Parts: sequence; structure tokens; C-alpha cells
Amino acid sequence: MVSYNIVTDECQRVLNLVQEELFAIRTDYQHVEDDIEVLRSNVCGGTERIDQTSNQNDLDEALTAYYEEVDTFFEDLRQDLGTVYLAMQDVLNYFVSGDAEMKHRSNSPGVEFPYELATSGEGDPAPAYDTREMWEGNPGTMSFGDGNSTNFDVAQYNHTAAKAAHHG
Amino acid sequence: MASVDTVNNLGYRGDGTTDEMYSGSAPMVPNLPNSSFALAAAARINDNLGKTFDRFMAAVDAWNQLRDYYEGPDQEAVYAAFNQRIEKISAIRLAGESLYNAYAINDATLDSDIKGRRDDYIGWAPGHVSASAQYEPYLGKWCRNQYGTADHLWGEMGTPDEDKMRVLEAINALREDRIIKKDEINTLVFDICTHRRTLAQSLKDVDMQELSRIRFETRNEATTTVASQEDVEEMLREAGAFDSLDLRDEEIERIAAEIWANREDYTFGQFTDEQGRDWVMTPEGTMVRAGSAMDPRFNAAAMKAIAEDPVVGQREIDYPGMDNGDRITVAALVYGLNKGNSKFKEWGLKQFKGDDANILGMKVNTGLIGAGITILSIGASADEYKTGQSMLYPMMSDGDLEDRHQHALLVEGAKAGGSVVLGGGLLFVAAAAGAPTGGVGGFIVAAVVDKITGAVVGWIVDTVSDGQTSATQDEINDMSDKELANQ
Repeated sequence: MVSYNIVTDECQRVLNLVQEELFAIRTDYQHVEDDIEVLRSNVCGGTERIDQTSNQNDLDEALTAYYEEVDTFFEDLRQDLGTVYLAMQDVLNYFVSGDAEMKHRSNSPGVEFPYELATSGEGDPAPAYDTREMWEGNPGTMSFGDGNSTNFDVAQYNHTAAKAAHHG
Repeated sequence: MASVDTVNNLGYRGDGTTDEMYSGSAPMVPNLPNSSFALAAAARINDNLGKTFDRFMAAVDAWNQLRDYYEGPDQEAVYAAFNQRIEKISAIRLAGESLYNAYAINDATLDSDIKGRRDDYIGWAPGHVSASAQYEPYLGKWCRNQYGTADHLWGEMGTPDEDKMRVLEAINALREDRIIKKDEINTLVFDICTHRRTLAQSLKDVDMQELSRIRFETRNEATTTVASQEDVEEMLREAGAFDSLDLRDEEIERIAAEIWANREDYTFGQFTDEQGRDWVMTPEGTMVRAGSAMDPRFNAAAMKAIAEDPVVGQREIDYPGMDNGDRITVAALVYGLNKGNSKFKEWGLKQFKGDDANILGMKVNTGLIGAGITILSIGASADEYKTGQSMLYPMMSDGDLEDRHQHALLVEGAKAGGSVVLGGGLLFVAAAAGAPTGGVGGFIVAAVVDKITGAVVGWIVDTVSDGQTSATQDEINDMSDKELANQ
């Protein structure tokens, strides 16, 4: 009995949209550092009295601390969402390739594959799969938990997705 | 402009004078940081972090489309995978606002507190130097107590007996002036340093983890939701943005029916609290109830329904606070057909891109994000702020809009650095050095001062986003519907 549905080409279209946004984020963000440097060059007046200089370093250090905090936070968030995106792309690929169904039939002979895969008929967008290097160095783990499928590790997606399909 | 590394301390004496730039007759004029130039850079950072936030939210919105195409045992976890991170996403916007606000306050305080005093000094110094010239170098040494007695001074100067008292009085008057001005200048330098220290502390106070504790707006306009077509009709009647459309009853009924028919677009949330209420993030980075007058999707549905109405869509809309003459039909506004209109362009419709215009509502909202940000963050006037809020949340009622406008007027007054008599012997003045700025709870924009004693008796914060009109996620989870309504 079929319990679940996946419209594969639409899922891919959505993932491509997500990927475009995650890429474009860098464009807007990259200007921030330049303007932090502008702020740094305006910490004090052109020539200040010696008794004005005591807390110039305070402001300089505060700017550095601010930027480091925001930049680390931004990069972690982007990597985090990138990991989620890649995990979902892996799941989709696993179904589209037929691996999920094959694995299911191998593990559960006689039990109907619980997913119905469909397309919208509006064309098949190419997966944006060659962008993995965007988050290289921070593969992380992603949990798409239903109580049965646990930690989703990018490197082990076959195993985890198969488990999800099996328990579904 | 100069960085810390490039500051060149010329040969200053301990008393702040220098032979290299002045005769030494008057204290050195302190240079000021170029705070307005820095403010412009801070504004750009705020703008770019705002755009970064928009991109993240666009990714979230795109991700949410998976609801329609992915159904599996893990689908809830899949949908939540992005949405559970919106707290962090909103922190990106707030970090930009925090930086801008800190620099805006610094610029305002330098403008209101420092520049005038410095200009007064600059106006005084040349006359003093000129008057002193005939007595130098003796006056300088007299100021530094190098003569000890008047006889010694007169002797050094070769002053005739008949002129001694006149010369002594003149020199003492000049010395007195110089002492007073030197104290003033030293205080001025101290205050410049204090303002810079306040700015540094405001930046150090920016805590991304703290900013990630997303704020849930608890004002009426953010929590009252529509549950029927009649509710939508009521909201349309009250909406400040639509006053100029002169909606008739049958038109309201027709448009409300269309909005209500599309309720699936705005009745689900990006976050569901423990009481089962759905919340959605505004372009300003705060959470409001799904289907409230501040829900961007609800507003988008309303604007689309009005634009597509064959009669009302062709009427011109004139947003509250906007100058006469900046009128545009709703259809043209929504579909970006009048991009050349300077006023609307100014407010962000320039961000329409070709065919994207038909994604109207969200596009209108994302295009106008800059207009809706808190008044401090955008540097807008109170009227511009009112217009921006009205464009951002067209379903907001006249009364709620006016409340925000009144607040913006107070902030505007404080930013101008002027003192406003509040009554009861209290003054409303620009934020003083040492004000506890920073933090997600809102920013200090002014101090309330006792007119008689001069004591600071309270702080005015930007209450559009402060703790009095918003709550944390934990507080929202614990709050019953009744408690929420009474906020």
C-alpha cells in the first residue's frame, strides 16, 4: 500500500531555488567586511590630542569583536542550512536513482514500496549537485527524524534513507 | 579620518597646547571623529545584513514549498529543518540594526552635545589669541606661575608705573578666560572619549546568541487574527492604508471574500507555539500571528485581491504620511507598473524585476523592507516611518498606525537632540553618554531628565521593538490566548 508521495521534479526545482538563495547570500554579505574597515578608519579624528587617544583601541577592538561574532555566526548559519540542503538533495537523489526502492525490496521482500514517485510533467530540472564544495569542510550531520530515521549523515545517506523508507 | 595606527600626536604639552600648531595662547582644538561618514558606513552594513537576512528568508520560503511535493514519514522534520533556524536568521538583521543604532546615537550625541561646544570655542579662540599677543610671552609664563609676584612680572615686561594696574587686570582677565576655557576643552575631550567608550561598549554588547532569542510581538495588530470573512471585512474597514480608496460596503465584501478564499496562503505558520498558535516572521525580523494585520502573507493576499479587483484596483492609493501627489493605482503599485514614480521608487519598488512583479505581495513586502524598519535604523523621519509601516502592513488599522507614528515622533525629537518639555518638570533630551544601549530589548534613544535637579529619572527606548510590546518564545509558549490578548 502506497503511503507517501514525492513529486521529484518539483522537489528538485525547490531545492535549486534554495541553492540559488544560499549562493546569493554571499554577494550581499561580502560588502560588510569592507565597510567594517571603513568604520575602523573612522575610529578617531585626523589628529587627536594625546588625551583623546586613550580609548581609540577600545573602539577598534570592539569593532573587531563585533565583526568576528557576526561573521562566525553568519558562516555557521550558512553552513548549517547548506548541510540541510545537501541532505535533502541526497535523499531526493536516493529516491530518483531507484536505490531506495531497490534497497527496500532487498530488505523487505513482498512488502510494497511505500512511496509513490511522480513528476509534474513540466520538465526535469537538473540537480544542483555539483555545488557540494560550497560547504566543503563542514559536512556536519542532519537529522530528518521521524522517530525511526535518526541522524542523517551526508556521507551515509544511503543507509539512513533506506532505514527511513523501510520504517515508513 | 585616521585609524589608531596613523594618529600622529604632535608636540602637545601637558596642558593641551602646542607650539607647532598654535602660539600656545589657547588650548588646542580637539579634532572630532567623522561620525557622519562612519554612520554612512554603518548604514551600508545594516543594509547589507538586511539583504542577507532577506536572502536567508527567501531560502526558507522556497524550502517551505516542499510541503506541496514531499510527503514522507519524516516530512515534518524536513519542513522544520529550515524553519527552526529562523531565530538565528533574524539575529543577522538585528546585528545590523544594533551596529547602526550604536553609530546613530554616537553621531547624534556628537552633533547635539559636542559640536556646538567645540564651535563656540573655535569662535572664541582667535579673539583671545589676538588679545593675548601684546602680552606674550609674559602671559603664558604668568599662567604657568613662573613669575611668582606681580612685581616680577612688571619687571620682566618693563611696565611703566602708570600702566601697572591696567596691565595686571588685563593679564589676569586673559588668564581667567584661559583657565575657564581650558577646563571646558578638557571636559569636551573627556566627553568625546566617553561617547566613544559608549559606542565601543554598545558594539561589545552585541551578542548573537542573545539576538537569536527571537521577539514575538504582542501588540494587538500582531496578535489579532482573522477567523472568518467578516473578520477580514472588519480589518479592511479599519486599515489605514486603504483610507484613500474610499471602499464601499459591497467592495469590502467582494474583496474580503477573495482574501478569505485564499486563506491557505496565510493561515499556517513558520512556528507553532505550545498553545497551538501559528506565528510568522515579518520582514522586520519579529514574529507575529499568522493571519494578523502584520502577517506579510496576509497583507500580500489583501493587496493582490485589491489589485485584481476591476474597480478598486484602478483607484489611486495615497498612503498615510505620504506627500500629496505621490499617488498610484493599486494595480500599478502591486504589479510594479509605475516604477518611475520617484516616491515609490525611493521606497523600494525599484526592486521589482520584470516579471517577478506578479509575485506581488511578497515582492511588495520584501521591496519595502527598508521602509518598515525601526525609525532609528533607517534614519527616516516620523512621517516616512508611518508611510513605510503602512506600506509594509497595509491591513494595520488607523489607530495602531497612529500609535506607532506618535512613538516615532518622540524618537525623532530625541534624535534631533532637542529638549522637549514632557510636563511635570521633566525634560526629554538626547541620549546621554553612558546610557545603557544595546541588547535585544530596545535601544536607548533619549533620557528623561528632571528639569530642576538635572537628574536622569528614566530612559526612553525604541519601544517599537522593546520588551513592553514583545515577548520571548518561552513567554509566548506559556501565555494563554486571554493573556496574549491582554498584552
